[in-house]
Amino acid sequence: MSNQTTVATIISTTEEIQRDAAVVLEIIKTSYPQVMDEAAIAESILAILATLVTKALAAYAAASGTPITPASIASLMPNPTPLTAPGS
Amino acid sequence: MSRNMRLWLHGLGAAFIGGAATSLATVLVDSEKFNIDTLLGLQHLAFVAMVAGIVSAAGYLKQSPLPPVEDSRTAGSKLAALLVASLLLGSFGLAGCNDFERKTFQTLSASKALIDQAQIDYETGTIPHTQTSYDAINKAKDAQTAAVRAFQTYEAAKLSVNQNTDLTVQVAALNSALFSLGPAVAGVKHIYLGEQ
Repeated sequence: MSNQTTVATIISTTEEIQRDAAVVLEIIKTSYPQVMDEAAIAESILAILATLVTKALAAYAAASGTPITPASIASLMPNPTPLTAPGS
Repeated sequence: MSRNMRLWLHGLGAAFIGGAATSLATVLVDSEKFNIDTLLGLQHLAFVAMVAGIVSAAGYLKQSPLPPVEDSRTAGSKLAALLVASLLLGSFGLAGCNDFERKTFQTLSASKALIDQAQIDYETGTIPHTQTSYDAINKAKDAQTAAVRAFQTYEAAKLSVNQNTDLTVQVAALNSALFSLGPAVAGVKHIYLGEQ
C-alpha cells in the first residue's frame, strides 16, 4: 500500500469515526436532554480534532508530490504573525 | 466490513459496556441517588453509565485507535491528535531511509498544517486563550522554524558544493531538530485534549 493510499485510508476512517460518533451523540442528546450541552461540547471537540487531523494528514499526503526546492522548503515556515498574548 | 473492523468495533463496544457496567457499583455506594426504582435514580445511573462507558471506550481508543490496516506503517497510530503525533514520530523513524528528504518534507508539511491550525484556533478562541496554550504554540512554532532552517542548511550544503560533500553534520542537525519538533507538536496536542 502506498504512503498516499495509507493516508487517504486514515483520513477516510477518521471521517467515518466522526460520523459514527455524531450519530451516537445525537441519540444521546435525544434520549437524555439533560446532557444535551455536554454532548454538544463533545461533538464540537470531535469535529475540531477531526479537522486538525485531516488537515495535517492531507498536507502530509500532498507533500509527497511537491517538488523539494528552496522555495517549497521556505514555505514550511510557520505563520509569521505573532500570537496575541493571553489576556490582551 | 472487514474482519479487522468488526473485531475493532467489537472491542470498542465491549470497552464501552464494561465501563458502563462499573456504574452499577454506584447503586451500592449511594442507593438513594442511584437506583432503578425511580425515574430520577435511573437517570442518574444512566448518566454515570454513559460517562464511565465513554471513559472506558476512550481508553480502548488510546490503545487501539484504528482497525489494523494490512501492510501499513501506521498500524500503531493513535486516534485524532494522537494519530497526528504518531504520524510525525513514524516519519522520524523513516528519516534514515533513502527517501530522507521526502519524508522530512512531508513531516514538516504536516506539522506546519497542525501548528498553523492551532494558531488559527487560538486566535478564534476555539482553544483556550491561556498562557499554557500561548507557550505551547509558540514553542511549536520555534521548533518548526528551527527544523525548516536545518532543512534549508542541509539543502544548501547539498546543492552548493559537489556530489562528494559529506552531509553527516547537516543530517545530524536536521534529525536533531526533527526530534525536538515531536514533543513540541505533542504539546499542542495537549491543548486540544485539555491536558496541562
